[in-house]
Amino acid sequence: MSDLPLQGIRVIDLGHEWACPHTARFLADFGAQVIKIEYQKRLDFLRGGITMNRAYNRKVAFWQVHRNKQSLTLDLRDPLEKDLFEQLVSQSDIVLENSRPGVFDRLGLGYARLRELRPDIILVSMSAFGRTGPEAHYRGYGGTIEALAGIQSLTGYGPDQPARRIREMDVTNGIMGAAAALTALIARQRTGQGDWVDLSEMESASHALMGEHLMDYAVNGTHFVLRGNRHPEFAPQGCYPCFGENAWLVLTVQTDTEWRCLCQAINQPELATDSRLTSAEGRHEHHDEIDRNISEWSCSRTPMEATEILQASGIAAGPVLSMLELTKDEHLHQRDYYQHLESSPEEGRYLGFPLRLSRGNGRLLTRGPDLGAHNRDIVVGLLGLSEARIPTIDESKLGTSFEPI
Amino acid sequence: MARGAGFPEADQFVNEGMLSHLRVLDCSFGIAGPYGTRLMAGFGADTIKIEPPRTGDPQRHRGPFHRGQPGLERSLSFHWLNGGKRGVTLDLSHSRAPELVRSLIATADILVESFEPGALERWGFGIDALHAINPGLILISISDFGQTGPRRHWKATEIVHYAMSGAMSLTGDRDRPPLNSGPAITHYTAGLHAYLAALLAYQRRQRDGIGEWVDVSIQESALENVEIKLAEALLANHDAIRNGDSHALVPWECYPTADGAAAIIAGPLRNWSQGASALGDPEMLEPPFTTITGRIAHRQEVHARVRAALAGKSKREIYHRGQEAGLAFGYLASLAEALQSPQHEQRGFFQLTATHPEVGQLVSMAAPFQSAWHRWHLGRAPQLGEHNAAVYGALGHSPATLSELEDIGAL
Repeated sequence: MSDLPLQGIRVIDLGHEWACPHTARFLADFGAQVIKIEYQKRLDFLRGGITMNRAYNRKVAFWQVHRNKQSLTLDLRDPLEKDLFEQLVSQSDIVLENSRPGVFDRLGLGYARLRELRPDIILVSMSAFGRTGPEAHYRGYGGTIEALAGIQSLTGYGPDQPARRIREMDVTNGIMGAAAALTALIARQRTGQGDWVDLSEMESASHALMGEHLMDYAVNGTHFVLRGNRHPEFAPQGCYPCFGENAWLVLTVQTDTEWRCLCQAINQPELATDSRLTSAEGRHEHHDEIDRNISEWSCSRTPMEATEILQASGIAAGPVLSMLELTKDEHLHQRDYYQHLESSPEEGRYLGFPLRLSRGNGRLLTRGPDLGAHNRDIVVGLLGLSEARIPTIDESKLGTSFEPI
Repeated sequence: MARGAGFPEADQFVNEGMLSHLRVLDCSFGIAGPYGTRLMAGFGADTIKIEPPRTGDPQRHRGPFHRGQPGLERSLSFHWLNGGKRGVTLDLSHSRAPELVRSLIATADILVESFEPGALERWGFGIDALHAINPGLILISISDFGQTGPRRHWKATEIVHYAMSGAMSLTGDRDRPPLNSGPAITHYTAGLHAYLAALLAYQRRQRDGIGEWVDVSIQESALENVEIKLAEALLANHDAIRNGDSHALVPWECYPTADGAAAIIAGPLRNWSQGASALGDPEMLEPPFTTITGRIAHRQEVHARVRAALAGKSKREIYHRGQEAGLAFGYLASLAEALQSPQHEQRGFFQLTATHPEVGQLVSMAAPFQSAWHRWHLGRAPQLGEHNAAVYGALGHSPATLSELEDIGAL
């Protein structure tokens, strides 16, 4: 096995919440040394709202999103600790941040300053709206972005039903942030030049989720119609009740041949010869009736039993898996998807990696670090400074992201 | 392209893209692979899309179509996903394919494919054969459930992936069936990971010149979207449930206004006292509503007060007032409203493609993130086989050979 792809790349993660930390997590999973900067007066949102008994070190969400990272506590308003940060920048390749535009400029740590410290530094600035434009100073969470970008308007049970969220814009934007960092890194190899990447989460999520829909409206003026679980072209497509509590199956019939196979599979061969239903157009017209026929068949089978019958008949189908069902999924198990921490395998399983590289994949070394766990390693070990410079943690003064400071 | 104020002037803006030293072959189809390679093309890589002769990428047959009329060159999703690429045809299963494939592979850095697992190998283009031609080649294989495992030959569509990657169990209302995502999120997520996979492998190749093979399973890739909830299931045995759009924090969802829905997202939590004044209900600034624990304990009352406060107001008014007061309010925008966003407009996010012979210019999106120095290549999607002569010609295949291969159906 060869070195990890990002071996030797040092990343400073100034992110908070989820999107930017996800970017940093991806880079850490594939070998970058990622140092998460933590602010004691306002701990990361995923560290929770409680500081008693060091509860902030025991949040599963933090363990996942900050896995493979190191934790360094710094107050960037303190001149000595700001100096530590600057020394760290001079030895780093990439700085990631998702504060509102201008926050780091006001700290005297904008791109211009970072370049003085490290001429080929890559700064990825992720913000809700981008660093220019009339709304650049506005704030945004996933719920803001999903609504304003028009993404939320695409999901709902039917034409007269309220829009529903699909959530997790943060992950989409976090993945895009990783794309930004790696693209700039590869450009730097050729040009020797760093970059300051402006990632607007509104733009990034729009780009990564709704291009064909925006184009359709812009070109044709067609207003998007909510269809619930149905497909604009294929029929039938839907979500059907199965045997068991909250047990559901989904399927899509993509061709007329598949339709005839479905009729056999659900023991209703007479539907295959029903002339009203031979084309997708006809099946759309009688979708309710078809749905009743499928439900009648599915409701006495478990989602996986039904799926296996349908897949064997060449039909795209699958169970709606809950989080706990996913943890027991046989296919993922056989592919060794889930991972144990190399540092402490007994602690349980984590998500694996979203892709598999044949020359050695990502590694899961450690869970999200305890607060300030690497203060000494970084200040003394990496920067070569005296012990006196190690930032200390005053537990009586810790604050969280949940309340005013 | 919008530029930041106070940006350093010392360096020169360059015309070439961030990846303009890369050559990419794209024989993927549908959404996932083409989106990944669309990004490569946009960042400047010379991206050659390889399609089956005559029928092309199946996405050419998927609506919506330009002016509602189907046609090989009219699918808007195809146009969106394949902008900036060159296009050639080639039947990879044809007995004469290898002579062309060899020359393409010899000059490529990255090959992206999304055939059924095993198909490439069957046609003689497995990873070993490819590396015999070009040891530096990076092969990205995208598939529904991965190259291995008992379900590697299962069929899947977007709704199947949304269901099997967990997110669907959490989308929609508790007393109704799980709800599919409007956006093709699992395919786009896989496309992004295919893009990242290519760059990771390229980064490693810089050290020793050796390429590799990447297995991107759409299902596994999409699990990232529920990473926190899945981690909580794995490590705390917690099963998240479907619960409409209700959020652990409150208020943190859409509420009706006089002219649509406003997203009352009351974060950052530390700004509640200044920001909630935008709602115009003075009692919301008093206990028990001043802390998030208090608001959660009085969830129904918070909902009722927010609804009352928004009655008669316009969604844009409340959006701007909330934002100016420090909270991340928004409103539920239609596609029409999203296209008219002043923010998008000022940043030049929506741009016209280059002129396509059949459909002309189309409104598309600029880069998903902006480099300070490098341009995004918007371009347009290629016509089927448009660059056969240019691409194959440059690789040394004579017009006579190409015409013969065309006659026998190889391209």
